[in-house]
Amino acid sequence: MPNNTSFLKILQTETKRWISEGIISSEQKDKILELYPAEAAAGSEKKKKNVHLPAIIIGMAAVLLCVGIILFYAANWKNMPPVVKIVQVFILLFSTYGAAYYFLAVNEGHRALGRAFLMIGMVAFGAGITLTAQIFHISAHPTNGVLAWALGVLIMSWVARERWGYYLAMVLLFVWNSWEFAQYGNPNYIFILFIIVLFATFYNSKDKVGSVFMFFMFMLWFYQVNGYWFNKEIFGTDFEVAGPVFAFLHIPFGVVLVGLGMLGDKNKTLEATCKIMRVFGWIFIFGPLVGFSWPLDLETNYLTFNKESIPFTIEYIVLIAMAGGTLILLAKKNIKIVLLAAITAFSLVMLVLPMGHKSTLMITTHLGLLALMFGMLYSSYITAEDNEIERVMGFVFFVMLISLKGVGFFSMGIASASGNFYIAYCLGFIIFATVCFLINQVLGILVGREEKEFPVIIINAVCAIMGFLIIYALSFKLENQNSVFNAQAIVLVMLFLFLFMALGLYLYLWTISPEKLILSLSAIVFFCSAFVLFISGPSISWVIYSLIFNILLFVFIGVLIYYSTRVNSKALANLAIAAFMIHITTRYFDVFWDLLSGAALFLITGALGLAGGWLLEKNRRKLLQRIADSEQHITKGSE
Amino acid sequence: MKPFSKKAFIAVVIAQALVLCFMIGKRVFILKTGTKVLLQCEPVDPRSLFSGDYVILNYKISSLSGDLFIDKADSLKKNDTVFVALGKDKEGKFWEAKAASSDRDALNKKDYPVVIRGTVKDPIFLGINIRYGVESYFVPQYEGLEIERELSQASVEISIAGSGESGISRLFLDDREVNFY
Repeated sequence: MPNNTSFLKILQTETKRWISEGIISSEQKDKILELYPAEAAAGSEKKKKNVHLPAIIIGMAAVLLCVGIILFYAANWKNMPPVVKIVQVFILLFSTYGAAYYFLAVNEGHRALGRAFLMIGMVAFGAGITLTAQIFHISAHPTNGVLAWALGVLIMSWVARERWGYYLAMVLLFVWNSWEFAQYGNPNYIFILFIIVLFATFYNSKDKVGSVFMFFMFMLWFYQVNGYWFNKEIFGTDFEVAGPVFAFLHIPFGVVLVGLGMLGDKNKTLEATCKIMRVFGWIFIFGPLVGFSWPLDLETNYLTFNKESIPFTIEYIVLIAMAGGTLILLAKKNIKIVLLAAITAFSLVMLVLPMGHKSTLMITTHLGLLALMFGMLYSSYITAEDNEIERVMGFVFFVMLISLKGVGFFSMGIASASGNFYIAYCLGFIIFATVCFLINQVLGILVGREEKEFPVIIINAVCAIMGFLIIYALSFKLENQNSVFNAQAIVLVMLFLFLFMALGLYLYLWTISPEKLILSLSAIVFFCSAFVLFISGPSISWVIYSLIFNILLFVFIGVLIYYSTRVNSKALANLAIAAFMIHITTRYFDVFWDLLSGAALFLITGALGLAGGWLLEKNRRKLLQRIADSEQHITKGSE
Repeated sequence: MKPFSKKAFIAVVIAQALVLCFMIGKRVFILKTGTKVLLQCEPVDPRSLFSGDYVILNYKISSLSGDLFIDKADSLKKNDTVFVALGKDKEGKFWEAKAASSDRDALNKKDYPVVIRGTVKDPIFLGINIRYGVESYFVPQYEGLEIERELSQASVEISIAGSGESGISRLFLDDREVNFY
């Protein structure tokens, strides 16, 4: 038997992957790991040995001493002449560094003590700088003092290879940078050099935490510099023009982050940093698309190549070039780049299109979003690389997209000219949600062909819930509804775009999908919604709308209940029954609120509720039992 | 871990000590060799985390009218460097601003022998706010408020080097020098 704790660590990681790919079961994994009890025991022993109490106490004592030194000189003791204070600081400086030198270079048996004295020495240097400022009342550009302190600490840490010194230097440089920017409005371009130097030192010392901090420092610097470029007096930038450009350039920036993250994530030191970069990268790609996929009135049609957004246009171009470079590096390492290349090309198209024009903005962002959702989920299942991040984020983004669009369309419907286009917006969402639903089915089939399982249930459930909520919102009294043909041109453009997309997807799925049932059921809801959307107008009475949408709601719930029995899903059945209850309760109160007096209403409701609840529960249990029996029957059949 | 270079360690320690010496030496040089001027001021008391209690000093020369500027004052932006020529007031006790410019050479040494360097804090319409680096006076803990309470008229003696750089040498309250040590 091998005797190797690192082998056990690898085995623990790999067995988890084998379970997710269906190679072994979780019981088999436990049996395999039980074969190596010695390694497991050695691993936990090693972990126990790493806790070194004296070092912890010395470290804490050093921190207390450092804080004490700062507070002592900050108090500016009366009756202590400045000369005495200066002499004290030099004595402190030389004695602490001297002690550090002794314990680190001469008598190396007490390394922890040496490191503690080294840290105190670095703080003593800072105390000396602040004391000099205090004695001579120096207040001109105090940030220079912090910079001098930071540089002294950085150089000493580099010479002594002291990790905690690097952290102190990082904190001081952060304070210096923030102070320079906040008080003097200095963009501090030079700060990037310090970030690079610190990152290199953390990387060389295999410091994972330091590397992560450097990424966040870089992001801080990025937004600081870009924030400075919004200064109209210096750069002539107008926020209303440059703001959207700054948002869109996050897309190629996201590609760079994801690409670099993929390049470095096999490196143990950079693993955590690279994962964080990938997460940020995908958020940067998704964020601007979803943020601008609304009918916004932007300042001008041509946002890029505009004199009011010059710095950001240049930055956009540079980032696209960097994205291209990253793709080349990825291709050289045989990492698949189709999705990232498509996103880069898309961002290039966005650079040259008049993205300030409402129709262009809406069409581009919506098509981009749907393509992104499909691309992220498809590539995360099909490629061999570790794409867990892309997989999870793909689902999160898809769910967010559908939910945000539902809430957004509903809100726009209410806000639209006193709610005159309420039906148009709400049914418009149903059509959009249908497209999302169909894309999900396509993914399920294409991934299934690669003999992998795609969880279609997630997006199906979100579409079902949002669909129900929207139709439910439509089932109330609706008056003065305008025809969708009177809406802005962009609304009609988007509607027809999604209608044709949905029809195209239905035709495609009808030819390739073995499962026609769900397509047929969803088509009922889709075509009913589309029909009502186009016939709605001022000539239609609210009674007609009410009838149509309440029937549609019953149809929708019926579809869900029927489908739950076909796929043997208890969760879906419970959800459908809950939806049914909500609908019935709402309609009951709608009808009887004005007809009955307060007390009578509640008494009758209570009695009906008890009877109805008992009946419903009986039928729900029958339904669930039927599902459970059906599951057992399937299990016995397969055995 | 690789052992560090002992020589480099010692060199860095000495360098840090030299940095402190340089800071102290430069200040002492300005205070010893610079021109002494007395400025009238008004204080407010905040607290600095690292340096302790200090009194913010605001001088009459901290806000200048645009008319005093030899060149165009309306083109001045925040953080621009300016030079202010000082001369004694009518009573001959305090010094006040006589002229100002963003260009040192515009203030010739013959007409304006004492020039202090400052940074534009706020170029506002009614007056240009300038910071000279002598706006903080560090006091022992809890002494700042006491000074402010006793105060009726504060004045500060500053020392100005030939380059325009300045430093506080003494603080006076009602013509009495304030000394904590």
